[in-house]
Amino acid sequence: MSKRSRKDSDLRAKRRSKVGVLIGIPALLFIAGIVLITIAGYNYMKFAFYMSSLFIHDDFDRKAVVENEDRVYPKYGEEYAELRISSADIVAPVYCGDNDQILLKGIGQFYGSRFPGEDGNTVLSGHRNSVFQNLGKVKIGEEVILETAYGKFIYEVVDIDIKDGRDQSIVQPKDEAVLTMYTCYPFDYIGNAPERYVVTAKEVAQSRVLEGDLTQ
Amino acid sequence: MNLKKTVTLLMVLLLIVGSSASVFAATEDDIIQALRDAKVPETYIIQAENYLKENDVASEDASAIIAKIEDSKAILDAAGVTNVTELSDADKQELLDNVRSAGEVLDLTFTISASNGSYDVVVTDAEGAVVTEFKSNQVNQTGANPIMFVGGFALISAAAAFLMINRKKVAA
Repeated sequence: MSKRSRKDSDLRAKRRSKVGVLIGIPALLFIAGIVLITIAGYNYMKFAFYMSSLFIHDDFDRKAVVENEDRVYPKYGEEYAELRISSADIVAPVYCGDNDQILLKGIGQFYGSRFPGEDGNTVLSGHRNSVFQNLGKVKIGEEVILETAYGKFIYEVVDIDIKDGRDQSIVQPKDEAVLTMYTCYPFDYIGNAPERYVVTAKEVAQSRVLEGDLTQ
Repeated sequence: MNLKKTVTLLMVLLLIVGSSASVFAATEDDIIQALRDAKVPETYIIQAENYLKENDVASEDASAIIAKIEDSKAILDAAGVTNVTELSDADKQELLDNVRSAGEVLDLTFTISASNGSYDVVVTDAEGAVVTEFKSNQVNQTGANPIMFVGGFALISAAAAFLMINRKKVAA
């Protein structure tokens, strides 16, 4: 091979390498970006799937039912209620338990808290970008309805607070029938939000399926 | 042995058997009381109560579980601590073994993950379904973290910018 053709061959190799770098780097960046968005969007897609099911079915498939006078309690992971706060356009299913998988489907009830209708603290949590994105619109004095298969429970918002994300007082038991709802705060925080937006409501009325009208 | 003595002996035996049955016939309420006596946090006790509302525990199983709870309390008492995190590694292991064997009585599996000295426990039943979870921080992190979205869009933007800047070099 002559000196000139060797030089041409080297130049071509260099050019191929340069084009490879110039195309390879953005291609890698693009693929990495798509992968990240897909992973991040998976949770949103899953939540959208569950939310769409609300429009397909007329009623929730609640597992907790009343058999004679004995309540049958929901098991961990089962949907058993619907939360409605009309002033903030919040309507969402409530599940027993509050792990990551449950929170993708709707609102989760902390299993270490009491069920609606029992004396004590019923603690609900939900994502700030889905079921509880409007929790910040709720005001003191407004009505919160928690409807289960065994009864309807009406609460009145009595307190709104912002607490540290490690403040265990949010989930602590209480003596009276109270509903505690919380989500991450600030609502538009990028990353793991450090605080919690906590709305507390006290029970003001309830109607059990077997009892008929609301009792104050 | 005359008849009177035989009848008396049988009566005494019946009384002993009867009273031991009443003494050892532990109930689900006794499990909850044992947890309270062991100074288990109230939210954990409520989790146990909620589980027991939907799941029956036989008397002998309840007794076995109570024995494990008492063993666990003895470990804490002997170490003179009230918080599990203050225990030595050997004591922690013994406590975890107790928790696991208490779960085995009910065919429950305790999967324990530790990080930074705190423990998260996932309890599953024989079918692998999650029965409950015990978290060191019981306040949830709610809300998908949008940082991955932002990162993804940043990478795609960087790819586009790289191509725009170097398009002439690529074309050349």
